[in-house]
Amino acid sequence: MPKSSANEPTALEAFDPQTYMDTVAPMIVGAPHPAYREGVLANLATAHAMAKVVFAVELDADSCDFAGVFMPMAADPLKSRDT
Amino acid sequence: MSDSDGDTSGLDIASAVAAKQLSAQEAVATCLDRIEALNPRVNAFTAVHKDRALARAQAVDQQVQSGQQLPLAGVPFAVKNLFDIEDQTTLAGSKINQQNAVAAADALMIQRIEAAGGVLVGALNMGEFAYDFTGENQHYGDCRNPWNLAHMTGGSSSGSGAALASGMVPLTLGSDTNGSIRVPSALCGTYGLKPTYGRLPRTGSYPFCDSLDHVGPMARSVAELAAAYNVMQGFDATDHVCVSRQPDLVDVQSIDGKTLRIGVLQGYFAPQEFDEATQVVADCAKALEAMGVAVDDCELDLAEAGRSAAFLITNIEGASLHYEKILQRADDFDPDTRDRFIAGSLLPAAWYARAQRVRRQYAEEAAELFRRFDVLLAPATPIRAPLRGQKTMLMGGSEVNVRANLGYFTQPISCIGLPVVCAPVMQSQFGTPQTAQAVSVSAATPSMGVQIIAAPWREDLCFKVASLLADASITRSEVAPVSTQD
Repeated sequence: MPKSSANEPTALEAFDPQTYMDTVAPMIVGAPHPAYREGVLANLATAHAMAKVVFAVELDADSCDFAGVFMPMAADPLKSRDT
Repeated sequence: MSDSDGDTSGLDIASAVAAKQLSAQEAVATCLDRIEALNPRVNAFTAVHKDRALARAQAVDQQVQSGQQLPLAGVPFAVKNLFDIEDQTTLAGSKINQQNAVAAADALMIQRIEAAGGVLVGALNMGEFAYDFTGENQHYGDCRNPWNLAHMTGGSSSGSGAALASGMVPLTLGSDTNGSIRVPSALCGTYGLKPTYGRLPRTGSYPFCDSLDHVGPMARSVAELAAAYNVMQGFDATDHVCVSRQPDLVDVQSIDGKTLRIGVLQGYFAPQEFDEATQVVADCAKALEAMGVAVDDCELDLAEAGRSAAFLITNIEGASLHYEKILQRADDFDPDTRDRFIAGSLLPAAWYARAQRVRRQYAEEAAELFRRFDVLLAPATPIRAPLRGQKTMLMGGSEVNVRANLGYFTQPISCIGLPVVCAPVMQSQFGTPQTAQAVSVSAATPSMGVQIIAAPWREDLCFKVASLLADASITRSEVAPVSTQD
C-alpha cells in the first residue's frame, strides 16, 4: 500500500469495473461468460457509484460498531418528543 | 351479495359471512371465477389452489355456524409465491426453485390469516428472487398492470398489486426489501404496509436479503390493510430478527389527528424533475393542513447515502444467498438478476461494512427527526408505471436503469426499517402530468403513491394519517376495468 498523496486519486476513485472484474472474478466466481460481461460490468459501475456516496459520509467517531444485523432504533416519538 | 366487479371489500365479505348472509364457499367460488376470467390477461397468479380453497371455505362456514368469531371470515387472499404453501414448491419467481422439495407447512403469515377466517386461493407472480422493481419475469411471464396491460405493475410483489387492482382478491401478501410492496402498490393503485423491520415474522418465506427483508399485507382500503395487519402480528422465535413485542393492534379512532406533526421530506425526496411525484405529496400535505394537522418541510441529509448503502447491502447479501446457484446454474437465472448477483459476489467486504456503518448513522439521524415529527411524507415512485420492456428512464439528465430506480424513493426508508403505509393517489386527484417525460412514459396508468412513514413500531401513526387522507378522498384505491377480451 503506497503512502498517500493528495494529488493522486483515491483507490475508490481509481476503481475500474473492467479491470476489477477481470482480476477478481476468476478467483471468486470464475471469468464471466462473454454473454454476461456487459451486464456484470454495468452492475459493478452502479455499485461503484453507490460506494462513492457511502464513503463520502463522514462517520461519527463513536459509530465504529459493525451493524452486522440491523436492529431498528426503538424510539417512541410520542413519549420522547421535544416540547 | 354479488361481486361480479370484484370491488367488494374483504371486510364486507367477512361481515356478510359472519351474519350468515353469505357463505365463505360462495365468496370463494365468486373469487375463483373472477381469477379464471381475468388471470389470462393480467398474469397475476402462478398457481390457483381451488380444491384447498373450497375445502377451507367449507371449514370456515362450519366454524361460523358453530359460533366462532372470525375477523376475516371467508375473505379470499393470495400470496406472493415466495411464501411457503404446504405441499407446494416455493418458487420465489425462479426457474431454479422448481426442483426444490415441496413445503412442509404454510408460512406463518398464511397460518395466521387463515386462523382469522381467511381463505388462501393461490400463489402470485413476482420478480425473480424478489430482486426486481418492474414486475417482469422471464420464466412465468410479465405481470401486467390492470389499468393498462402494456405497462409494468412494479415489483417485486407484482402479482400482489395486480390481483388487488383487478379485483381478483381483496387481500394479498407481499414482501419488501427495498420497496417491493410499495412500488407495486403505487403503480397498481393499492394500499400496502411495509411494517417495522422485525415486526412481522418472515417464517416460511423465501429470503432475499436478511438484514432488509420484510413481509406485509396489501389491500384496497386502509381498514382492510389494518385488519390483516392486526391478525398477522405476534412474536415468532423462528425468525431471528423478529422482535418480542405484544401485538400493537391498530385503532385509528384512539389517535387525535390534530395532535400529529407531519414532516414533508424535501431534498433527496423532492427532485424537480419528478414534479408529478412531488405534487402528489404536496397535495396530501395540503389536505392534512386543511384538517388542522401541523405540517412542515424537513430533510433527511443521509437519505442518498442510505439508499446507496441499501443498494450495496442488498447486492452483497443477495449474491451471498445465491452464490452456489450462480456457480452451478447461471444460465437458469433471469439475465437481469444473474448479472446483478455475479457483480454482488465480487464486491469488496469493505464496501459492505462501510454501508452497514453508514446505515447505523443514518438511522440515528432519522430517530432525531422523529423527535420533531410523528409522520413523514414522501413519494413512492418517481414516475407512473413505465411500459413493459422499458429499460431506462430519465434521471438527473441521464438515462438510468428502470429496474434499479423505480425504488429511488422507497429504498432509503426500508434501509433503516421504518414502518410505511403506501397509499394510492389516482390521476383525478393530481391532475394532468406536467413533464414531457411523465407524459411519454407514464400517462397510460392513473396511479402514483405517497409513503406515510413513522418511527419504528409506530405503524398506528401511519394508519392514522392514511385514514385521514382516505376519509378526505385524497387517496383511494379502485378496481381497474380489465376487459376479458382483446
